[in-house]
Amino acid sequence: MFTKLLRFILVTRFSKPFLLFIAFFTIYGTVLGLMFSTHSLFSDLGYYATGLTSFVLAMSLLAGGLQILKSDLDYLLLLPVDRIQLAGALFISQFLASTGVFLFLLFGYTRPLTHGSTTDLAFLVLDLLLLGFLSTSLSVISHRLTLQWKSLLTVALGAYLLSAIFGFKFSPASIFSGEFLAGTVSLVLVTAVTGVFAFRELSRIELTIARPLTRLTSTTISRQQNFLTSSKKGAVYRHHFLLIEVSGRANLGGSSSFRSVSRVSIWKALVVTSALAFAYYLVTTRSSVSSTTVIDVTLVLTSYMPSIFLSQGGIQNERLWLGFTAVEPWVYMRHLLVAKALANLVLVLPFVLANILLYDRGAEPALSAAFASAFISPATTVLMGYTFARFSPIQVKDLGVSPAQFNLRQLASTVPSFFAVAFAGAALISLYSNFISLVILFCACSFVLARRSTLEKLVYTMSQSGFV
Amino acid sequence: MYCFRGLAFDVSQCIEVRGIKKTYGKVTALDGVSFSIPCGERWCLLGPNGAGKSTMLKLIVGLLKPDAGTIEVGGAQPVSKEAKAKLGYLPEDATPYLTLSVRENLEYMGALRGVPDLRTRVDYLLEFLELAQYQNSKVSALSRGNRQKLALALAVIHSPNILLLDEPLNYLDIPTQEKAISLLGSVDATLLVSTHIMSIAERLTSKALIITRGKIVWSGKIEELKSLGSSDEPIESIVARIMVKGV
Repeated sequence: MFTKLLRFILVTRFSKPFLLFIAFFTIYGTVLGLMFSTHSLFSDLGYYATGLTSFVLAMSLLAGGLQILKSDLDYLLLLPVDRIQLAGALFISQFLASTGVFLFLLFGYTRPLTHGSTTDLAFLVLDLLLLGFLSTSLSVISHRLTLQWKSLLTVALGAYLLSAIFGFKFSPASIFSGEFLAGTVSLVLVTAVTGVFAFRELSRIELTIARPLTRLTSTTISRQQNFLTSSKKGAVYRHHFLLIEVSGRANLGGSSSFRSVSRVSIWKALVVTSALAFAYYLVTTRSSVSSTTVIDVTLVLTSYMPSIFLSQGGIQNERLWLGFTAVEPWVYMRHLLVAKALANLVLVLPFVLANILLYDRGAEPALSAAFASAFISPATTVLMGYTFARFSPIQVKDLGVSPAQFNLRQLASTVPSFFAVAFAGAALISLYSNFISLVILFCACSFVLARRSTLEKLVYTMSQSGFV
Repeated sequence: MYCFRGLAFDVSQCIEVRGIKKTYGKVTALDGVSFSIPCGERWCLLGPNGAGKSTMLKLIVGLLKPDAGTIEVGGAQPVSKEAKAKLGYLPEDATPYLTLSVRENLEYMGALRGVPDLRTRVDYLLEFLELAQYQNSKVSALSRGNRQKLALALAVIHSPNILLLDEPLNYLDIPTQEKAISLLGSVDATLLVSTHIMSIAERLTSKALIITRGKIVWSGKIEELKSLGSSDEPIESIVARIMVKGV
């Protein structure tokens, strides 16, 4: 029965090519890691692994959600299925939907940390699996938390994990500093606590889904936007620049549900990014880790992460029958994308400023990073908005459920984020390569924004894909 | 009369559809559909599930592009600024912006459409549709019925000349249905209403287009439609017969 249930749950949530891709990519990535782990690029691999793990786990908590479909609510959950089996099957599905599975890709790169010890190697395998489970559990727990609690816990979790860099050995990420025993003990404890909690939530899934929705029914907006005196363009920017819709469905990014279709004022988000930029400045100037490494990693993250949320959240919550029928569709789409790019620019400005200050203190790569921060992320927002609308437009229609099956087309829509990473890498080589990257990005964005036919095609594609 | 792409158009026709074809992959949704609706008239669009009604409305409103044929809305292309100013559209299962409040939704759309004296218009619609108590509520927190009321208000906020409605009374309770019918009855607009419910079609419109498998199979006055059956035959039965067998 469990096999049948699991098969049903996987088939309804993932397309077969998508599952094959995950399998292929995990094997390919692991082999690649084993081959190149000794390359000089990965000399700071403990730091990279800690950073990536902290980021993945923090994102699972901040942007996670349940991998539940509308049809589950209408049919699956009404069936007399054993709750434990159901919870198990949903957990596995959740594991595949979250980035947890990709943490295993670290195996190849982090194997040298074991220094040939079989015990440490066994610990490493166990730890990576546990990290995957932890990521999955956090994405389940995320479903029931309010945005405020999620933000608070994410900061706390991030700090706990990153403490490994500063020598705290009872952090789950300290395994990447070579503290296998202490790290494993902390990881087992954290995973056990969150795992039990997540499993309990999944075993009474009806209540888990209903609880936050009940809370939503009393939602009012205290600070209303005033559109009364806005011009047509002004209204679009007031909506899409000042308000950020948080509901990014980044594939394998741990985000699989839309319970919290919430909005955040850009000024509040700016306070958060300013705090992060300040932390970045402190880590770069005060920690023992090479400043170049911190600058590199931060630039890569800021190059594509904000754009995933801004582009997808903005478009997923759009309504074709409203904005796109009030003004010419291509004009509306253009202003929407520009508004999101500008919002992105504002959010990364603290990092630009931090990079300028770092350059002033003698960190050479920070100058390139400052330029790249200011251009790559906003440009990627436009390009990701385009690819998302063109290849896998998914509209948020119901709360509390995942809007569609995961498929390869959705992965294709995240391709610009890979380019963003490549451009960020190129930007760090020299100011000249930085300049070439920016010219390429500028041309690509111009191609998207300037051509009426390109923008119109996006609207038609969205309409044909079921956008209302 | 004037010519566009070799076809003659009459500007007294608010909606002019000529030879429209639309396919989704291998599925033909509309196959050479032609009709025209003179300004001020009220028509309903009837047809079985999957007949192409919603596709037709999306084409008229400019959210889809036809594979062949032309559409004119008040003498302009559906995607043009001129057509947008005249059109009001309510799709089936319409959801307003979930992250905005009820009032923000109305003000946003009013601003996009350049509605004069917007505050008064918004207040009127909120009061008329009994949404005033929810004006600060996030749309995601509204019941389906209240969302539909808001959707209706959003479709008429700019007092459109041409109004396209897809199952406009879905989810509404009976008193609100009456309010909605009164609101739509008072709108001075050319109406095209897609619905499955004949009683709604009869109360909102006077003429009908019946579409089956992507083709118009009958058009005319609803009274004429009734006369196609025997005196005691319900209109639903007549429409069903036409949908299945043609006239």
